[in-house]
Amino acid sequence: MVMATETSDLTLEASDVSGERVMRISGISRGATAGELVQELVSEIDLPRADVEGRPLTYHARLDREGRHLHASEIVGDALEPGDRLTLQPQITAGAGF
Amino acid sequence: MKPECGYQFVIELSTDDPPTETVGSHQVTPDLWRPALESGRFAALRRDRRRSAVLPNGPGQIDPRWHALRGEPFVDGFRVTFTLDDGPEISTDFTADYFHDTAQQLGRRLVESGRLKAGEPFRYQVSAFAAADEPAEQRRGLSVTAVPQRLNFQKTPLGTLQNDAVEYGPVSDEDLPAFIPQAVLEETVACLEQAGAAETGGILIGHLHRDPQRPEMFFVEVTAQIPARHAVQELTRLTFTPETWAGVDAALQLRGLGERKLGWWHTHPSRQWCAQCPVENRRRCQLSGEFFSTHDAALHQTCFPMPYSLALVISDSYAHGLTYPLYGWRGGRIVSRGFYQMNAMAVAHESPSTGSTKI
Repeated sequence: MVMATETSDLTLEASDVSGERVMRISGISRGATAGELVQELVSEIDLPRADVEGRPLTYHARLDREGRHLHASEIVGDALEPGDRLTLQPQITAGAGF
Repeated sequence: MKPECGYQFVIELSTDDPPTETVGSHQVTPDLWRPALESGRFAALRRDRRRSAVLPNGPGQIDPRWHALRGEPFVDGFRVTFTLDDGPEISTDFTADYFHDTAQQLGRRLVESGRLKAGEPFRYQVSAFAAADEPAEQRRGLSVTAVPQRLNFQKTPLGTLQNDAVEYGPVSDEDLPAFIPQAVLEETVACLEQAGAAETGGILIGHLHRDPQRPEMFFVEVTAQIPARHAVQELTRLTFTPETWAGVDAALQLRGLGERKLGWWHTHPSRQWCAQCPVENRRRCQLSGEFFSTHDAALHQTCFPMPYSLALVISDSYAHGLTYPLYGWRGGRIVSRGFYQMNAMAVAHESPSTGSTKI
């Protein structure tokens, strides 16, 4: 859980892959990992956590400033700066389903 | 950002044949509300007499509509309300049909678990119960606010595009008009041919328009498609990866034309699926028809929740040849719909796999 274990001035913007819903998030713990942050953001943006077969959906956070995806183990305080924007991009499967 | 809702909605499934028996129940989770919230949010914008271009910013409110005959806690629908900035509240009503697709998925899981027999009819009922306040110790430390979204659109009379386009499929007044150029359809067919025995797909990009003479009238114009690079292509599945989405965003930025992601397309290479089947079975196989699978719907809901979003399927089947069924949002549900084909050529369109034709 991304609970504030230290005072944080980090405020970010996060959106889903459509880019049409953007949230401003503050109170983020700088000591949290990017993976933990993604899980919190998925919940805050009300994105589905599982596919139709009940398997967990994987989301990757793309950091607009650097044009790359964050690694889950990266530390938020090291990788992110105030005002950064993240886009949560899923690995998701379409198809006939058989 | 969770909507304001003082109730927990529950979908309860029961057998249809007497004696009816409850076989399962499911609490409605926040992500299931999103299509209704986006539909209500967009409807509020359309009905705002001030012709605002900014989508209502708040989380929205959901209230049950109690069943006319059975009363509380049973519902026959719900209401989504948004408050415009310095303006009135605008509400959109939904019927319990909104939960139909979720109930169908639950029914499938009950068949898998043995609680229901395959093919056994069932019914669903939606109820709403006063929700307990979230305990303070469970509140997360994050503070979340929605950033106001200005909906960028071009001011274009609908007739400008409509006059030179032909209808394709079941065009309905209930849907936002969608315009797709012939050239885009041909590009998708070329991708289908190149992919062979695998599904392929891409993203539809273009512009949102608002008719200045009828400000409640919005419509979408597809200008191009971006192939889904870095996608995992299999015979019956297509997986969009984070690299796929990143590539699309990069292409949009490179084009620099102010386009937005309007939806996605993918192929159903039914001829490839049915290639090993007896010839007499091919035409009547359910995979030979036009359909939008639960996986397709889940992707659309996750990645394209806006009411104007489109999902185009390029279907190549023994039964129907090459067709372009389109799907989109209507009342918070994904439905089959029509579109306007721009620059349509009045020539027979051959299926790439065999010589069967479809005009």
